Amino acid sequence: MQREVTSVTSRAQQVRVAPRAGTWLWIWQRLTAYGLLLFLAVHLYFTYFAQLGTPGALTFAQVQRPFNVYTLAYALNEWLLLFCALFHGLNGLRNIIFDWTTHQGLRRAMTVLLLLVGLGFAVYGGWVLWTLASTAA
Amino acid sequence: MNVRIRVPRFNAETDATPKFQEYTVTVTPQTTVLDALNSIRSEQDGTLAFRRSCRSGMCGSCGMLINGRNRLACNTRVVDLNNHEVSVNPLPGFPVIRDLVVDWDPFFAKDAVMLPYLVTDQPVPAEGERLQSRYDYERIDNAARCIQCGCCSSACPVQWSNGDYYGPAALTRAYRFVEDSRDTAVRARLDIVGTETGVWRCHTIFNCTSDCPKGVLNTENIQALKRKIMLTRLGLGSIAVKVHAPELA
Repeated sequence: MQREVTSVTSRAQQVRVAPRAGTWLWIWQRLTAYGLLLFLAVHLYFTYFAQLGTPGALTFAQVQRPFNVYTLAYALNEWLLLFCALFHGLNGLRNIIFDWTTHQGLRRAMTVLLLLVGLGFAVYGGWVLWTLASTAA
Repeated sequence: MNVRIRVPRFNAETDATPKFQEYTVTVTPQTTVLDALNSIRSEQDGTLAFRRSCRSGMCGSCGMLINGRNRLACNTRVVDLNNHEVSVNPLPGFPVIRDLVVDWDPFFAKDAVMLPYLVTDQPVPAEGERLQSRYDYERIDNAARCIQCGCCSSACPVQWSNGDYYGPAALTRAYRFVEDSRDTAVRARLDIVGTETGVWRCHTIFNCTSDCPKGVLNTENIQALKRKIMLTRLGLGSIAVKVHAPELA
């Protein structure tokens, strides 16, 4: 929506008055940043630090081991890590696009595209996690 | 001491790109960049165009990009630049009309959208003035120092790439009234600035704060607006509402 300002200007000026939006995206951007710190720390502990004493290269069995021990909790951690990484990264990309262009059509199209990409990766990642969790010993 | 002053010469009505011109000016330790420009105009080239008015850092007319930073020409001594060459350019991000003169209309149009005046539903007190306590005034003291020189908005990279963004000057203006104990249009202003063209476009780059010649904490003001909007949306608006000292100091 454009608002025309003439009261303080020599020529009429169009100022874009955007609808009230962006607050929740900003809040979730912060929450997912904290989530990344927490869930990534757990992920790194089990997939790297806990394996430090193990000789040889990292194997699939070692990656799956936490799923065997803490199936539900670890799968939840991994899915939340996936969600936080996807949201934080894709919303950050959306912010860059919104800084780069003021074209409303392009902004909407890119928002939908990023949403679809996020949903696609969330479903695909969830499927992988489900497979890992459901085949845990 | 002689210094070379390099300025772009440009006329939006006839030129596609600016041509740079150098002038040599003799300066003393007290000479400001504005003094040097005045000397060029009065003694060497009367066609050089730039804005100035108060010459004391109060009107905000002479904001310019001086040796890579936005400053007030009247408040910047040439010797403090520690250079025998001084580059003076118009404020970046603003449309240039001529030489160092920029078009302020988009800037002030955004300012006008912020309701930059006191809005209140309270009757005028018997004493005729809407007094504030010292505590209440100190909450807006820093933001009220803004002289609308445009140095902050012009220094903001988001503003350069996104002309729709209100910019730190307009947002600080909104903050100044949101924090004013006498103003009752807080929610209306938070709705205006809590948008994709408002505070959510600020990425805390801090150029606006570092380039403000009056020491206004623009970035901090924008973050305070974000916190208020967030609390309001979360249903915790009572926390965001101003807490005022009842007594008048």
